[in-house]
Amino acid sequence: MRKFDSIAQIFLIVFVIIVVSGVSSLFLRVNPYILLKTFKSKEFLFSLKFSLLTSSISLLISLLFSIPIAYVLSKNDFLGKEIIKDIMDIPIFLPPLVLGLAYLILFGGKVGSLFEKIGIQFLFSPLGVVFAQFIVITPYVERNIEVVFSKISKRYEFIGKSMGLSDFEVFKKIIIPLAKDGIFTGLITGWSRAIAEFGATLMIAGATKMRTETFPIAIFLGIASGDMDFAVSTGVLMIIISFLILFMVRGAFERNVSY
Amino acid sequence: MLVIENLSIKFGNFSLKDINLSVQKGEYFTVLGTTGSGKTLLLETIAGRYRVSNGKIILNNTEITNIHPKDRGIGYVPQDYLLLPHLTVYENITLGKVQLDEEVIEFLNIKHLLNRHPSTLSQGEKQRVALARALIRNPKLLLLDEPTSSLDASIKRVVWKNLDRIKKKFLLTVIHVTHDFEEALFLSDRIAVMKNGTIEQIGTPKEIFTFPRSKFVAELTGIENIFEGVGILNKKGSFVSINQELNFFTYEKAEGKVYLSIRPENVVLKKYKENKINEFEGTVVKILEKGFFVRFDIDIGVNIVSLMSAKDFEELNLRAGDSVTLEIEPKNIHLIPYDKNLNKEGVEND
Repeated sequence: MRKFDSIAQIFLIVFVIIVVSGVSSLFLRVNPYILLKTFKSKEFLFSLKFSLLTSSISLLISLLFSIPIAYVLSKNDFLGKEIIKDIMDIPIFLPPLVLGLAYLILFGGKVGSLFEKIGIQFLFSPLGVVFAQFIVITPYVERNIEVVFSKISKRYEFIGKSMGLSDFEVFKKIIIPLAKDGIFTGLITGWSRAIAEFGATLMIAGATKMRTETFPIAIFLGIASGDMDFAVSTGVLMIIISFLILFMVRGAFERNVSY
Repeated sequence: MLVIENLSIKFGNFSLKDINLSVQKGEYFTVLGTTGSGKTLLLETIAGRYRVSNGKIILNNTEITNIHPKDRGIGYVPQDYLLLPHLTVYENITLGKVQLDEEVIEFLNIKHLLNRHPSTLSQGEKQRVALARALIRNPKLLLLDEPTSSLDASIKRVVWKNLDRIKKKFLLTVIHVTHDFEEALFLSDRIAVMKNGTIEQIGTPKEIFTFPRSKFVAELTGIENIFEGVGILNKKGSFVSINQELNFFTYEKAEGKVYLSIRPENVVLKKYKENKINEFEGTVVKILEKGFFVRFDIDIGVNIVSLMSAKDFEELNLRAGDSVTLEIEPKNIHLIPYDKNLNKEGVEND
């Protein structure tokens, strides 16, 4: 067993080295002066605000869909459930670029015209960024919540009902609090993917400077225009900011878990 | 109070079949059965966990067969208590905007636990909290699912006494599920014995104890001496022949195949024959001292078990291998109808 442990540890160390070497190559490519210059630039500040705003909105909409979907899929058995679950997984298996291409075609046709008539435009607009992030992250958010919902015994629901709670009260006061960990994990996973989303965003919302410019799009535009300093320093700042937010959110969550 | 009429429900491969029973107001009613007999399924069906398509459940003259559990007014204490881990004891008890009832809290001695989380409580404390959670809602009916199964043997009797006190204090109607016959004897006004999703017998503890109506009920109540025999009617009762060698006389009447049951404590051992009826000579096979009681296995052609007090055992001074005479009074021999569906080991034939 000790020998097996040692071999497993070697794999762990090798993988950590691979990750750290990749990330540190980015950090070594820039200096504090370039970082500060980028951080103060209008374009970076736009992409920072825009990324945080779109990822938060898409995460919220995703959560709104994921909780009821996860509840239905975890608590009920019905004909065609497996097929529906497979359909739910399509955005996970499909490359985001292909997924974005599909919606580019969809919104470029009659469906897009219908939405435009009521003033909603997905293609090449900030709304398209939110939609691209939403469609990519929802299966991840939903799957995390579904797993934790399915682990909550149906008997807890029954005991709540026998204590005089309505079905909705049982959901609000028993299921959601018991699923808190899974929901949090789903949110973290979803947000991380939303902030890093590139392929689907590029296809649906395009790469327009100061309009649909999320962090990844900013990096892409930097490379495309030959401004490597801006691209690399944006990447570095994106890593630092994402980590800071994750640590703060995780810390706040763990302080709130009291049982 | 509670009336169940022709209730049948299927749950996977198991089903409750044609359950009929009524529980009176203020009654302590016990459902006794082995694991897998359907006791918990029955209890949870009464509480409203499952949708019923066949039969009726009526509580206080109102049909509640398929109404939402929250509207039934039934308190339920599950076997594993199911306290919500994310809530304190106080929040668990008052969930659903119920006011805390100081009397219940004081009576169950849980005031000092109110700010704690369930994970920090002992089994006994969890049980008292689960009871408080049910009692605080003034239930019309209290359902208790194996309330002592996870407690140490030494605490069980204390809990029995407490349950008896609670029932009297809060004037409750209780349905209590258990596999422990002693527990059922101690607490119940009436007992229903369940087997394979059906009710085998309903009666007072004395009726169930003394006159089991089936071999299964007899075994569940601790009767080890159950023999298959053939009855021949007599003016005063009947003679039952076992293995065509041993003839037992009983005041009960039966003809043809029948089960004969004798409670071990009614098998009296003595050193010498007195030429009385139902006297048999045999050999002591095994002696097992069990504290206040001593258990004997006696071979009289069949193995028969006798229980006697440690004091009587001392006076008789018997050892394994000794010859002994045993006597059973005719009034202590009970006959059970022969069940063609059972083989000699009491296992159902296909």
